[in-house]
Parts: sequence; C-alpha cells; structure tokens
Amino acid sequence: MDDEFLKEIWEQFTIEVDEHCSNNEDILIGANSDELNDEQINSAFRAFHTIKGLSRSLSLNTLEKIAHSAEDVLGDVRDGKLALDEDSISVLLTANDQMRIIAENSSQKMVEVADDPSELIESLKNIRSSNKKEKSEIKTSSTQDNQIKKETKQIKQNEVNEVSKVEAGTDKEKSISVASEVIEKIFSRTGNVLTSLSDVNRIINSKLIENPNSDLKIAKDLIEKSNLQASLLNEEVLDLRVFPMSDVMRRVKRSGFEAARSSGKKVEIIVNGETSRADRNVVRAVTDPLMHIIRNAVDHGIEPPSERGNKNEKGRVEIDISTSSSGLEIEIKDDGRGIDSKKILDKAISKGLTSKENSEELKEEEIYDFIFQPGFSTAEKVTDTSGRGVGMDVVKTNVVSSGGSVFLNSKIGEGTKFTLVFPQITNTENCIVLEALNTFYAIPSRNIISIFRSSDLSKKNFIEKKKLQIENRVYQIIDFEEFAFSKNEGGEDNYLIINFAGKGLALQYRGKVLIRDLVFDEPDKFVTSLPYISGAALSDGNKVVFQVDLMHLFGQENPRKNQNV
Amino acid sequence: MTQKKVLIVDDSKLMRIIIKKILSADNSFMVTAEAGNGIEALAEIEKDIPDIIFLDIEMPEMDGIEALKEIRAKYSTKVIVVSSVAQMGSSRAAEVNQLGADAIIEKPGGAVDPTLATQKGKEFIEIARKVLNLD
Repeated sequence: MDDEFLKEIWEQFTIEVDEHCSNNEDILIGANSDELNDEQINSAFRAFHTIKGLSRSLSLNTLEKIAHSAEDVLGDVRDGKLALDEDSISVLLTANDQMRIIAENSSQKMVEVADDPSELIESLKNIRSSNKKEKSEIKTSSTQDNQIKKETKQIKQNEVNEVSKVEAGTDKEKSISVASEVIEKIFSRTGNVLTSLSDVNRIINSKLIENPNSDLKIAKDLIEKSNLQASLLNEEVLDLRVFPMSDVMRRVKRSGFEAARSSGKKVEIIVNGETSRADRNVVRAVTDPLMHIIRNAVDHGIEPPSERGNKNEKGRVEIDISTSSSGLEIEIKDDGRGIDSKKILDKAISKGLTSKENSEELKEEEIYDFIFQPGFSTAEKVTDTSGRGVGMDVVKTNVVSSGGSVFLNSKIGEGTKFTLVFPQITNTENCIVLEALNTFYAIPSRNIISIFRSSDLSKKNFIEKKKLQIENRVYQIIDFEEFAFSKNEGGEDNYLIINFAGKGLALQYRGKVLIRDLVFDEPDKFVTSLPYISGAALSDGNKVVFQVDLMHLFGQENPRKNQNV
Repeated sequence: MTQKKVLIVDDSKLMRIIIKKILSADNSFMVTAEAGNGIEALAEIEKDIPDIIFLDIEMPEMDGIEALKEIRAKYSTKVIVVSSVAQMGSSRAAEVNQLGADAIIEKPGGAVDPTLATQKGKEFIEIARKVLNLD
C-alpha cells in the first residue's frame, strides 16, 4: 500500500464526496418534496448511497452511518412513504454538510475525523418515523448554526488550498490540477511580456518618427507579430483563471434558504445563469456581498406572508447572472416591500451625510447610494442573519476592491434590485503614472475622472483650505507629497480628480503625467509595509512603479494587505 | 499466458482506482477500459470486447441492471456485479443472478487498511479467477 496510492485515493474521495454533496444541495435547497421530481429524488438517493459505499471502502464508519441514515430517508421518499417538509430538508442539508466536513478533515489525516453523529442520526431517523417532527426541531436548528459556521470555515480553508481544474477537451480523465499560484504567476508573466513588448514598440515608434527610413521597420513588424501571439496567449491564460459561479451560488441560495427558515417567511429563490464563469478573484470577492444581500432581501425586503397584500404569499428573490465582453453582471431582485427613498434621505440628513439644501438636487440613485455608507442602516430590528453589524458598506467595499461597482434601485411595495457589475479582468491595467525623485506611482486610469491644471481653475474653485469645488462636488485635496514624501519643484500644480467607491478626492501633483499599461504583482512584505502602496510593477525597462493603495488613500482598511503579512 | 482484458464500470472513479489496484496484484488481469455508467460501458465493449467486466449497480444515466441486460443480449463476456450485497437485498441479488451475472462481489471495503485490503483483495481476485476458470 504505497503512499502515492493512498494520497490519490483520499484526494479522489474528497472530490467525489464533495461532488455528491453539491449535487444534493442543488436538489434540496429550497424545495419541499412535492416540488422534487423522480429524477431528483433518485439522484439524491444515489448520491447518499454512493457516499455510503465510498466511506465503507475507506473504513469511515461515522460517515457511512450518516450517509446510510440519509439514504434511508431518501429511500422512503422515493418509495412514496414519506414527504419532506422544510424541517426535514434542513436536517438532510445538515447531514450533507457534516458528510462533507468529515470527508475533508479525514482526508487530511488519512483516517476518520468526526464528531459524535448520534444526534444527527437521531434527527434523520425522526424524519422517517413521523412527518411532523416538532420535537427535534430546536435541536437541529442549533446544530445547524454550528454547521454553517464550520462550513464557512471549511470553505475559507478550501480557498487557500484552491486549485484550478484545467479541462483538456471534454475528456474528464485528461484534465490536470494546477495550483492557483502557478496560474497567477503565468498570468503576471504573460502580462509582463505584453508590457515589455509595448515598451519596445513605443521606443521603436519614436525612433521611426525621428528617422522614418531606418531598418527599425523590420523590428517593428516583428514586434507586431510577437504582440499578436502574446495577446492570443494572454487570452488563453485569462481563461485559466476563470471559475463557474455555481459553487458560490449554491452557498448564496443556501444562505437565503436558511434566512427564510429562521424568519418563518416563505421565499422562492431563483438563480439564473449560475453556469456563468468569472475570474476567481471576482468569484471570491462576490461571495460575501451576495450572501449579505440575499439575507437582507429575505429578512428585510420580503414581508411576512400576512403583510404581502395582493402579492403572492410566497416571496420571490431572483438572481440573474450574465457575462458579456465588458464583464460580469449580477442582478438580485426581490418582490418585497421596497425601500423608501424619503426615509433614506431623512436619515442621511440626520446623520449629516448631506444637507437639506443639497438634498433637493439629489437623484434617486444618489439617495439610494447612502445605504452603502458606513454605519447606515434603516433596519428597525437587528436579526440573527443580516443585522450583525456588517452593513451594506462592507458589501460595497468588497465589490469595489475587486474593481466592481454596485447599484441599488427600489420601488415601494414592489421590491428592491441590486446590480453588481465587474469589468472584464485583465492582467494589464491602464494607469496614470506620477513621478517624484525618480520614484514612480501609478493610479488606475479608470479611477481618474479628470485632470485639471491650476490655470484651468479659478479662485472660486478653492472654496476653503484643502477643499476644491468642481461643478457641484466638493473634493478634499490631498497633497501628493503626503505619500511620496517628496515634491517636484517648479512647474504648475495639477489636480487629479480620483473616484473610488463612489467617493472622490483631488490629488495635488506637480510634474509629468505618463500613461502606461502595467502589471501589478501580488504585494510582497516590503510593499505591504508601505502605508499608501498596495503593489508594484515594472515599466519602461526596469523602473519600479508603485501602485497607490486607493483604499488607504480614501481612509479605508485594505483587507488584502493583512493577508500577506 | 495472455492477460485477461478487464473493463471496470463504476460511477465512482475512486472505486475504479481501488478495483484497479486490487487487480494489479495479479498478472493475469489487465484493465483495458473504464466506464462511469452503463452507456459508456456499452460503448467501451463495442470498441473492444473485454474478457471480464466488473459492474456497479447504482449508476446515473444507465444503471448496472439495465447495462447487464444489454450486455447479456449481445455478448458472452463474463460479468461480475460489484455491489453492496448486504444492502442490495436478496431479491435484487436474485434478479442480478437471473439476468446472467457470473458472480456478485461485495464492494471492496476497508481498502486503505493494509491487512483488510490484502484480505478483501484476495477474495476479489479469487472470485474473478474462478469466473474465468483460470485455476
């Protein structure tokens, strides 16, 4: 029994248990048994049955017992002896989570690691003995909370060890696993090749302008050809970083399902387009916000059945995911009570986020945008699931830190719609590059709304010290010197209007402004120790360009920074 | 001695890995093909008729019972049904027998326990050899 073989077996075991558990979740979440068709019931039965068999092979007795009990439940459903209600589905999902956890933990130790399953097995047996199982309900829901906590931990763990599966053709057997950091490296190397090529191209072009008949023309042709090849390669590499949204959506759906269960509301959760694929960083960044939004929709959006008036007693939350060449778009809409923009505005005024005078000019969407401000919450009561002090501001921060944006729209009595938009991920970022004492600083072009020279502005624009007013917006002025620790003498001041997470500021800078496509590496320890810097890139040969940490600049904690220290 | 061509049919790749490992202990067997369900199995048989098939029962798309019927209608290849006999129940086992399975073997349990694995593996190979009249 060689180690290599054992390793292969355990790995394969975890993969298969995970697949079967995901399959079960897809089937069970949000359904009661009259909504399940024969094929779905059979499929869930088979999944539990298979897990049982696999566990036996690896002598995982606890796992085998749980799978066996769950299989029995599905067997009764299949034979028409039993109907599943929400509570019994919840127990089955708990069993499902537990199985996944045992498989994962055991696989790491290569021997079974499991808690005492007797309570869970008892609950599973109770489903079979009675359709109404009030007596076990309280018990299961408390174990369930633990389960979810454990599961979340588990998933975080998985993210760390995450590997990308590269499918070669359609033949599953021919696919290989590649560690995500390898892909990350290839990704950034390809980007570096592209930027070097564009540097060379720029130099050749400027030389050609000086001397149009030089031999450099041949070089230019070659560079263009290499550039084309590199771009094609780049597209393929980008494809390797892409993951389906389905795993995340399963968790999001689950989260909504649990929220509905604990709040006693009836909610149908529909997900369209979960097979859409997105960059792994986006998939990761979008998980928490989506879970938060769906819990909010169920907790605060959807009314209790008695308050739904003419609407269907059963609330509805629909998530649409779509991809296009410009990126990924996720829409979450509920048919709940909607959010009163007047209430939002009153609260924004009372919190000093805007004034009464200014508020008259605000557009509807600008009013809704206040919801994403830190500390802003209109929920009357704090609930277990969505009122844990994590507000919509965190949703926005998460989305924005991975390059996305989020919008909200609502109609009283009709419902609320969130729209999350993420641009197509590229490994090169078009940046504005600033310089001081031969050190370079880059800010993504997409965050820069405009650049004003001092001579473009009049005294009227400088309403008070360190405040710049352009049209109706007031920007705090930050001196470039503050993070570059040096200043260029002479010349004229520029004001770069930077927009980030819906907020704006003006960066005061004196010197040359360059535009470059850059590839930023994951920050290393040195870089993370610098307060205003979140990454570094190479440009124009070997010049290091620092990436300005916009989150820090805008007074927010950058969650990415702590990870690497 | 020519090696016997083996087809392993099981929706679990893990199970296929384990069975393959067990068979690797005996030179008389060579796993030439694998399939994840009945349909894939029939396609593999069409390509190259194996001497012996290890067939799982519970599988998606086309289960082992259906596959066994189809196989028996066309081929004389030996078929060993690999299943959890204890859970399968005697009526199901009888059905499998009637459909012309040459043997029913319990799914190899305890595969990662060296002693158990050796013992189970031995049984597994013994039955397979017997079905093929190798001794």
